[in-house]
Amino acid sequence: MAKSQIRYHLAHPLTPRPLRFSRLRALRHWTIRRAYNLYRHQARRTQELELERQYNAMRDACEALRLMGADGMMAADGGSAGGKDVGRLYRIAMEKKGIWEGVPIEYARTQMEAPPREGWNHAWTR
Amino acid sequence: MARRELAVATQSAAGGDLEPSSSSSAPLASDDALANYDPVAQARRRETELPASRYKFRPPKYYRGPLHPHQPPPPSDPSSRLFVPSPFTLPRLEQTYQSTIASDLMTLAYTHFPPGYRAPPKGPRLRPWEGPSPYYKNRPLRGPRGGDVLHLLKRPITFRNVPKLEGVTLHTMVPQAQDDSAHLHVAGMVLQAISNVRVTTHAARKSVAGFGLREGKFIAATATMKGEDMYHFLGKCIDVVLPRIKDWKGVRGSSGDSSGNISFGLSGESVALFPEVEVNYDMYPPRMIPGCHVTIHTSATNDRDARLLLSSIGIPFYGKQIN
Repeated sequence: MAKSQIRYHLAHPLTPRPLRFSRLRALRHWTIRRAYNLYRHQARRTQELELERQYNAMRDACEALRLMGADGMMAADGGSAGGKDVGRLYRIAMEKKGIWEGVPIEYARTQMEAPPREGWNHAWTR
Repeated sequence: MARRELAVATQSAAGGDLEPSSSSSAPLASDDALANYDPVAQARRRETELPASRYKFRPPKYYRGPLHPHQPPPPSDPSSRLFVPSPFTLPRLEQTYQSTIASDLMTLAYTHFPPGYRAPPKGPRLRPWEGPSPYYKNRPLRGPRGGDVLHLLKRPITFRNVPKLEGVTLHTMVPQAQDDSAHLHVAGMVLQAISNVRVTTHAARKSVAGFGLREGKFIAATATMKGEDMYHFLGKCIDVVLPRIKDWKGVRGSSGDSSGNISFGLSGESVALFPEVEVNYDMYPPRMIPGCHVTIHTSATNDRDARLLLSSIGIPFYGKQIN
């Protein structure tokens, strides 16, 4: 019984007949679709620009750290020139220790409109 | 002509599709014409049927190539047979990725190059044959170093190539389907239920005596998801199914094809945990729900980045990670 039901439903054709719209409905559909695509394009463009802005800010910060001495002054601005203290923070920031082992599992929570108040049960053991 | 326009104008006004510009500004018909207006009698008097009022486009059922004069409309057109109205939702996983994970991954993997840095020139990926032998002349290039596989290029992660999810492929093979096709039908139905796309069935390409396979028998089904379907599937998998699998350690760290696609397997009991299967578990014949392989395709070009992306969306890994 279950098998024949499954066979029946799987045997239906792949697609139904194509939609037929009247002139005005087709126009309305075209307009709404176009507007929605424009909206999505703008949203995606905003995200890309935001990522680029973040990247450029990171790059500028790292460049400043690289040239900075122990007293927080650039060598060009009259700070302590040379020495092993120049760019110490930059070298620490560029360490990739433990980065590729994955992020902690607590990080991976999908965002939702009404997240639970107690988000993670820390007392739970198997 | 004026009568017809009036009729059209009143009809469209009643239907709510009012266009105030052209059709409603037609001159009103005279009283004489209105008194003689009897469309039923007119239609009875007519010998032959009128042609259709406008040209009705009928999309061809099959695509017959780019040079055929009868071309189907693009799939974005609602009159196309391939038209799928979508998207209807913004999946949580996609939203999380866009708002948080993408920028976090970019920050995590940031590599600084001072201004003016030029990468040292590398040798060609495929070396030519060099040596005194005259037979080296005009030979095709040597194969990739260290094996037969030419791996994808590894580029540092910037704002342009933050790894993202591209697609998910579900695959299941049911060798019992050679004797009883019900196994394949049930497998297809299960995959279709949990993935929301039509499945493709595959036949065995050659006979394998050890597995009891016979050539040409249909034994496998795959479902390929992209976009909205993929995000919904992964969301269900991560939030509902994987946490409920008994003694599941995670995905093995050596999984992956070294070009950014990671696979893992689900047993039949785990597939039964998907909400679509669980709500009407009794619909499926007993002990026929198959296990399946899940392949997650990412835009990363190496397994390390892909694993970082997957662990940030909530898929744990165990064991030694091999890239």
